[in-house]
Amino acid sequence: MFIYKMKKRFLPTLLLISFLSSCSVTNKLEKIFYFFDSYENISLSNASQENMNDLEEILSLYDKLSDNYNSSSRFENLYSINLKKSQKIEINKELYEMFKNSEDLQEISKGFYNPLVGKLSKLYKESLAHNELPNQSIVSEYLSEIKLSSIVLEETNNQYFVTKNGDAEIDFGAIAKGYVLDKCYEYLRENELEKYYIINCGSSSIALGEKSENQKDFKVGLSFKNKAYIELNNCFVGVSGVQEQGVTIEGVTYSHIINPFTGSAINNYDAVLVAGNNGALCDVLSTSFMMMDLESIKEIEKEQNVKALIFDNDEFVYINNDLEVLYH
Amino acid sequence: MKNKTLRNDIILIGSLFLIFISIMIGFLLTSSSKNLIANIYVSNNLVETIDLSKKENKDYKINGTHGEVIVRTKDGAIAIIESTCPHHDCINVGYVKETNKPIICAYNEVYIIVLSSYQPEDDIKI
Repeated sequence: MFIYKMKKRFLPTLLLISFLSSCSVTNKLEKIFYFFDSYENISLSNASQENMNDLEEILSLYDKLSDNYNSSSRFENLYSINLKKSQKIEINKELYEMFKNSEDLQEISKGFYNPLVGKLSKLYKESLAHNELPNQSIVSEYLSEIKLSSIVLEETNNQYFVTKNGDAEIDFGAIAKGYVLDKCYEYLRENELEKYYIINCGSSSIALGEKSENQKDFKVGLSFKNKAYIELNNCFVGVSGVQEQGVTIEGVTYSHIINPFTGSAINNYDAVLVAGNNGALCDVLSTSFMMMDLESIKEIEKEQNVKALIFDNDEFVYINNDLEVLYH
Repeated sequence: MKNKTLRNDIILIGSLFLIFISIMIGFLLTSSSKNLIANIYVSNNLVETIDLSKKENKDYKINGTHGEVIVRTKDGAIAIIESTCPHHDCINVGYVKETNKPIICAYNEVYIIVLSSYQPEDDIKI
């Protein structure tokens, strides 16, 4: 009788607690990291602290591998490779794969992405920091070095090697954030966490899952156009623009995006956004498109199944048909 | 007896539901701060807007109604570090990077309000 009364008393309570647990907000975990000289914000649902720690390790690893300002005590990275001209250097598999991806993307971008722009990038960075333009003879010298330099990759018996020939320096700045997003996404998929998440790398490369069960799309605000946003889910996005890092000298805006053919830091547009299903691809193309004409951009859009949005002089000069700019 | 048991169960269920709703409301109201800007007002006039997300370490001299107030930004937060006010309550607030914590120097009529630069409807901004 007592047990019957207990069951009767607590059963509705237990049912309610179960109901509340099942319909409560999914466990959301969010953390901010500092890698690649910028802040990364990761938001996951139904993940553990261990998952977040694993993602932090992925970010850290690729940050160190692609660092061309500091060496690493653990492995060869871009900095150490740049110092050793014409030497065959053994590297780890992760860096080797990054180099291979870089090779493919250089071809896809028709050469507008070139990892050998390291010295040119540093030259412009240092000069523009003082609101000055670099010496044009040095720009020409570095351009020649790019043309005469090469990267040779070799894989033998599970060992990986890279040889940098010539005086140009390797820089993965245009690919690193997008590439690490791909690695993070691989991890999420392996751990069945790829449904509800956002990974924001420095607000220029992002990976999106779905917002929630009831609302798939994220509202992605566009910082270069007031109140504008687009709705996206399950994709990667790369954005390049002059807004944040551009320096205006005598009425001309110079960006951090250097044309590897001409050595110029003057771009065709104020901002470019590329959405697609690969992080490194979107990262590279958002940068490359800043230097390309519209016809070439549309051609690559079709080839690579990406969607671009181009912004210049306070208006959208091109929006892919599958994208829609909305306003709050 | 039957009715009393049923009534108690209803009260218990209702209480748990109210607790759940309260937690949800609290959760929604306390959002983490990202992409913050700080607006500095003197006598209700906006004199400076600072983008805290740039994380610049910088001092700003603000002319208050009774003297100069020095505002410092550091690591994405903002504080009044010097003021001509007699009690320095504004200085004692320290560094702020939350959106619901204004810094007020009533003597100099300097108010600092931290806002999120996100359009409220955006989930992310790029």
